Amino acid sequence: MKYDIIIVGGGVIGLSIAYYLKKESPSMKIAVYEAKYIGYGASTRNGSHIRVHFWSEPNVVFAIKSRKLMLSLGSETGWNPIPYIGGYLWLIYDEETYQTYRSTDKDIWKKYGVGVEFMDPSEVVEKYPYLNVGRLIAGVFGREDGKIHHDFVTYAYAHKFMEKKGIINEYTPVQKILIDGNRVKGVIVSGKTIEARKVVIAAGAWSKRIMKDIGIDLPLTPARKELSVLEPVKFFIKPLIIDMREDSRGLYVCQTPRGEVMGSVDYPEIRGTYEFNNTLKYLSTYAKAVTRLIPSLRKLRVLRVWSGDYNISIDHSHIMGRDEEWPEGLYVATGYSGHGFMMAPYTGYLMSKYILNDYIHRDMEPFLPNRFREGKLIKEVMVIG
Amino acid sequence: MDGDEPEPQSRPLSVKLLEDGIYILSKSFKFKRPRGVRNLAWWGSERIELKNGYNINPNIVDEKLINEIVKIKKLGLSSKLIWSFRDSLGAGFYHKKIFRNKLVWSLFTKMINKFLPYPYPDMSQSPNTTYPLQINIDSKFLIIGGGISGLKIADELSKETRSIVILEGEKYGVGGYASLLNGWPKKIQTLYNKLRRKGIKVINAAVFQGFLEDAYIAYKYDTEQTIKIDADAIIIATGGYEIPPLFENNDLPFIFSLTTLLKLINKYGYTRLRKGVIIGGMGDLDKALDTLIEKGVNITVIYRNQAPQKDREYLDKHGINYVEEVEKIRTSDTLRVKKLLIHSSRGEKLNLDVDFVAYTPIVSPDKEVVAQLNPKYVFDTRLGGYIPLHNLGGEIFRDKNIYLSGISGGYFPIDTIEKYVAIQARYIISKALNYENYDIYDFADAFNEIKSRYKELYQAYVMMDAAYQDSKVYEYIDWENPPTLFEGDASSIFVCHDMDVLYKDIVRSYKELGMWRMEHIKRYTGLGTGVCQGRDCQLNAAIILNRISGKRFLEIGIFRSRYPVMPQTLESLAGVEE
Repeated sequence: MKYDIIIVGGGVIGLSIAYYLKKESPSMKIAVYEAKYIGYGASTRNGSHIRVHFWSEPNVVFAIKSRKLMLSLGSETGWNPIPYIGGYLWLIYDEETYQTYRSTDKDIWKKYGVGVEFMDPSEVVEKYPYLNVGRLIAGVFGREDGKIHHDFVTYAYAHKFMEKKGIINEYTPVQKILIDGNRVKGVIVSGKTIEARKVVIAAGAWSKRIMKDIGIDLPLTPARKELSVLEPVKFFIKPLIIDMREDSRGLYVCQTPRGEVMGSVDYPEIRGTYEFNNTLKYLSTYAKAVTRLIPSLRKLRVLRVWSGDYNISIDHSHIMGRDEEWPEGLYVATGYSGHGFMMAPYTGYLMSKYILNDYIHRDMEPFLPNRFREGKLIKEVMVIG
Repeated sequence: MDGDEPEPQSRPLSVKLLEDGIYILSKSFKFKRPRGVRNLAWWGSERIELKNGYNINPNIVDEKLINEIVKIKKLGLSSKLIWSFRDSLGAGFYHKKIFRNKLVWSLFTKMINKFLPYPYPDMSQSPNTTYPLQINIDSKFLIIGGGISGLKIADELSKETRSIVILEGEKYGVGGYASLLNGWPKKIQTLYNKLRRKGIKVINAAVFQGFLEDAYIAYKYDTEQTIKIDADAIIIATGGYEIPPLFENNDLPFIFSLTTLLKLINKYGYTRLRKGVIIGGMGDLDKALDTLIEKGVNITVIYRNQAPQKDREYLDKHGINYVEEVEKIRTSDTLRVKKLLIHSSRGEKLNLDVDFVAYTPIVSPDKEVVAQLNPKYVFDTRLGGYIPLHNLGGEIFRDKNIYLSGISGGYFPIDTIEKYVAIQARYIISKALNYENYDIYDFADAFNEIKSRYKELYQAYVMMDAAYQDSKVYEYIDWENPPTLFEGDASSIFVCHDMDVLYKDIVRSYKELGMWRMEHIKRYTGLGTGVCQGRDCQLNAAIILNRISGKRFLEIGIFRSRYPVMPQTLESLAGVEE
């Protein structure tokens, strides 16, 4: 069997790339290989949020464009991803962080028209009376951020890709990437060689291992994160709220328009690829932190817990494209550090242009893998959860 | 037995409401469709009364909400409006062109929020850091389930050690299914007293929640405490799980499972259900009917096909009215009066006023807790070997010293259960305590005995397992033309009662989008993302998918049922020590 392009990984990133490739070049033979089912890893396990508030310029630019594509997905694919733009609310408890937000707003956000509202503690209390804010310094509200149905985005790409005769193979893990001299030759699946001119690695948390097999070390660390939902109640928590108290352990909480309260803390800190299990440590830590922030949730009941992962890169920004030192025809799109879902549309769009025409758009330039070699890291620290 | 007959004031809220003739007790998550009891959970507490739909939680729901629900039902307006909206658009309505317009979409979401009364959480809660304390259990054996099998296995184990704790989900008493039928409680009581004399502890109102990575957890829902378990061996004796059958309008509020009916009448002394219809078919009808006749309940049994010979003999003997080959049932359901018009293909017509319709549920072996462990194989003492559990990957059971016990629901005669469980107990002792001298080989004999003596029941029991294992036992159902029985305004077969997923939604997902894997069906339709976490609906959905797509059960797969089994308050989890 022979393909033009093989995509390793059927998550939202891989499927977005597949979708845009097919859109640009319908006659091309493209196959996606997925070890489990579509969206198995982080794509169907994330908090389904989009935001434009990052601390580094490349990420802000990328996120703005990605958001735009995400919101037009409904008219483009026919799948309404049910957007709800309720904003993000950061609760800030130390002066240093506050100043960072102020200077980021001045230096970056204003430049790109990213709206942000700085609120006094009294304003926060007035606007969100259900919050127990404690010794709050300030609230920062980002209006453009919000929620989108993550499963529907993933399915929209898969569905439209398959409609154009794209091939998705589920439960077919890629065992090895074949390199011949200085060129990619294809992949091995179930002991069989599948040839391809180009191979894109978009395997989320498993990308590091796949790349390591062919001698390329990417600075990635998968981190398992746990999430839970409570029984549905009236939709009253409109923004996603991030509690930045030290002892809240990165707590964030939001509510789906369906009424389920969803949230997480970054505890226990589990690094590496593990089975998607849950822990009592997470549940009790989350319960303590979230009931402190929103006391009215105390009597609500936990309905379901699950876990997924962040694939954290050394500079908390994704890696896309290729390094000229790599075998020819080998591409990656990975290391999204917890914001892969929101970055997926623009990733697919730019990657398709790069793979087909070798065109490096200036928005994707900072994210090329050679930045690690050349020491041009992105200054991004804003990871939520 | 202590508190076997609960005081009227300690009855679940749902039972109190039913006593007032209010059947509408809940709503579904997604479209807030009014729901009735259907399956009364075994742990019939005030905290959670219903396995399905929007459970009444007194912490967030007050009289106001119940009044609202009743009002909706009386007016029959807003819910109907929303429902017809939904029904015309299907589960995939998000994808209809009209909703791609941002304005239409925002109006639609606003309307849903306005029309459908969600409850508010209690906003008066003050920030406070005291939480219910955690309970620790430290024992050699932990038995989950105080049914006949749990008690019997404790009895056998107590010959070796007294370090045994039994968790029972019911708030009062023990006995599980067996306690619902006449003639059995006495035997249970003797057994229970014997265990208590030996100092074996039974914790009531405690539901085993599941196997987390760092702890095994149960939940005591009456005091809202988390129970942390430290045990050398855990024995799961949770019995069967009722799978609701598929037929048209199978979510009408006055339709109960037969065991729920028995529980209401026998356990809670509920007196209002005087007359009704039982949809016959599978299960141990005669034992249930014995009980109902004794309580003076007036019953008509209906069959979609011909009644089995065994049933017919019994019904004739007791002069119970029954109708065979029923084609259609028309209902008119107001808040207090339920009328049924029954047509049979033989031309019989019956006009009945009823208080209830009951169906004999299909009982699935105890997969609910087991599935959380994500094992590839389960060491099943019932079958004396490893049985494959879906297509999940993970650990093997025995390595964790966790065992299954019981033969799924007290529908078998008590002496058979006792005999069988005794053998299981000896096996578990020999394994858990590393004994070598137990003869475990008479297993097969005991199982053969059940097979030959109770053929029909055995058939029902293995059907569920067989379904997972790619069997053809379901071929007798015409899946292109699924079974219909009730005729109503929203003529629909419900598969998932929490998320309002219909039979046709699953068919549509397959035919229009080519989805046939359970993981995708779950994410696309929302099936199994409510309270039941797929325990109620997943098997039915798998069967439908198997029939329409021709895919094997192992390919279709089963998604993982996750912690917790019963929704648990945040504050109980916040009370867990570091």
